[in-house]
Amino acid sequence: MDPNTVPSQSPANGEVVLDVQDIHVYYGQVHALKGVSLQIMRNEIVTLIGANGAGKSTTLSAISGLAKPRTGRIVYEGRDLSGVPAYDVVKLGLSQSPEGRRIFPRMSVKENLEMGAFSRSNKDLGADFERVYHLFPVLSERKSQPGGTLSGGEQQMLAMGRALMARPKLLMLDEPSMGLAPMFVEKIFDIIKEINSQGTTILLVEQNANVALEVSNRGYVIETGQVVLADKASELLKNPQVQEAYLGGA
Amino acid sequence: MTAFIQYLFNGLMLGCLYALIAVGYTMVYGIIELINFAFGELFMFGAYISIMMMVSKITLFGHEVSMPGLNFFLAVPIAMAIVAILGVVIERLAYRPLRNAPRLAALISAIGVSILLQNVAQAIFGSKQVSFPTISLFTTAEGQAKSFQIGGAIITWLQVFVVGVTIVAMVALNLYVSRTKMGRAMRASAQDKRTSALMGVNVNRVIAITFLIGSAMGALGGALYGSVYHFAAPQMGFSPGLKAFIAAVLGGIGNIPGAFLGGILLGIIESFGAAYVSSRYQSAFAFIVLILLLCFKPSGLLGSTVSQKA
Repeated sequence: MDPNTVPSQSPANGEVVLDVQDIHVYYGQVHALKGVSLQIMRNEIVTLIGANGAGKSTTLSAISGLAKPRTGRIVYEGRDLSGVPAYDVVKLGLSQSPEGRRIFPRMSVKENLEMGAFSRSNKDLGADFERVYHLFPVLSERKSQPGGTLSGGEQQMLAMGRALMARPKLLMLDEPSMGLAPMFVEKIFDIIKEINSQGTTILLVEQNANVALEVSNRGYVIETGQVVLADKASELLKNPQVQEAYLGGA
Repeated sequence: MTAFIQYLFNGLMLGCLYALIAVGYTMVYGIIELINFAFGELFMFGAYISIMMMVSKITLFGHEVSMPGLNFFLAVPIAMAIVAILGVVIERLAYRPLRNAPRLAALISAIGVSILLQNVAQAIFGSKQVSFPTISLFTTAEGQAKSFQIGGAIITWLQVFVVGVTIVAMVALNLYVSRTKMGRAMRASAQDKRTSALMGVNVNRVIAITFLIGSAMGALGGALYGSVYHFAAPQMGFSPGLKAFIAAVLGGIGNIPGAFLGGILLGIIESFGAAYVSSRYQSAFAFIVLILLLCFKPSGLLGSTVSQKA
């Protein structure tokens, strides 16, 4: 797809929560993001799709403050995030379940969840624990087990639960279906919808583009560090090029 | 039997002194995988600064200077505070700029800091050893150490104090790391700094606090060592620093109870080795233990290897 043909379609009406403006990110000599722009509205679910190494996770890292854009701006709720360190970004209500899950292996499930709430000044975590254990009952059974001993799927749930503990306004999920048995994939997306309906805006990164677009309002297709397509999720699902490249054939 | 008890208790006390430096090694290694060789020198400064606070006059840079002449129990916390700040400054200047450099660079920097601090001490306090004032609480009117006997073995109250203080410090530290929010942030940072930052942890601050605590513990060890052996000297930290490093490895590096256990075991092994085999080889026993350990259980006694599943 030719990046010059990106439709200048503006997202649905509403309040812009996150506005990523033409960011360029370098890893040493590698030009990982070559001018990514995207907007997320309040209460939307937005999916980034693209091949491995296209720059999806780097985009999330840049939003979280882990990777600093060399040029371009990231504006969250009207506030420019340049110069805001990663540990302060989460305090603003942006949390992330990162690529590869990144569970703390030698901490118990409960402590992992407590780490998720680290940025909060509100000390009462009871309701949050309840919410996470309700969404992921298996975590409640494994409360005192070290995170490193969980299965891949359980770790994925823990990573999501941990991100929820921050009570984010914008939740970023990097490959939430990774490592999950097919029967759980659907369940995890139900949970994502449920979280969204409770008032959390969601930015998804998924290989499993079909299922992700099903639950999303809009999607962005990223190729080699650039947004090549942006549209409503329902349109992307119908797009022949998208179908061929990301949805397992027409 | 009398001799056995005597050596056991001597070893226990020596082991406590090692343990106090070893926690610094183990905490810092746990979090940034750096062997901060300068802890031996921070230990030495702990002893010197305690002396400075306790005497009424001291020679600094060859000039006699008046000093406050404080009580031991006031002097030591002051020394700990000063050395703690010194530890944080060292981290800021000598290690943080090398955080993303190859690990060898930071290690060389640590050795450099260690040598630098020895020379600074020599410049300030002179190359001759300075005697550590006696502590009135632990000394009789005749100038003898207050002591009691168990099974014929003579145990001084100062030794008991050293063991007691170490145990209290270790328990407090362990509670701090396992129960408090900052302690949890330390453990999280030791496991995954990037993700810790994502959770809202200011990792640089956590590392600074780790140096602060490790350095204060080392200074406490130095002050106690000085009071037990009645001296301070610029090179006094070298050997205990090395032994403490072995103790940390012995217990499982990164593990605080392990550092305590490793220190005590090492102290007792040295004490018995010196008594029953040969005192000339006292230090060799520590290294024999290190070699055997690395051959048979490189992760240390309490070291675990729970790895993250792929």
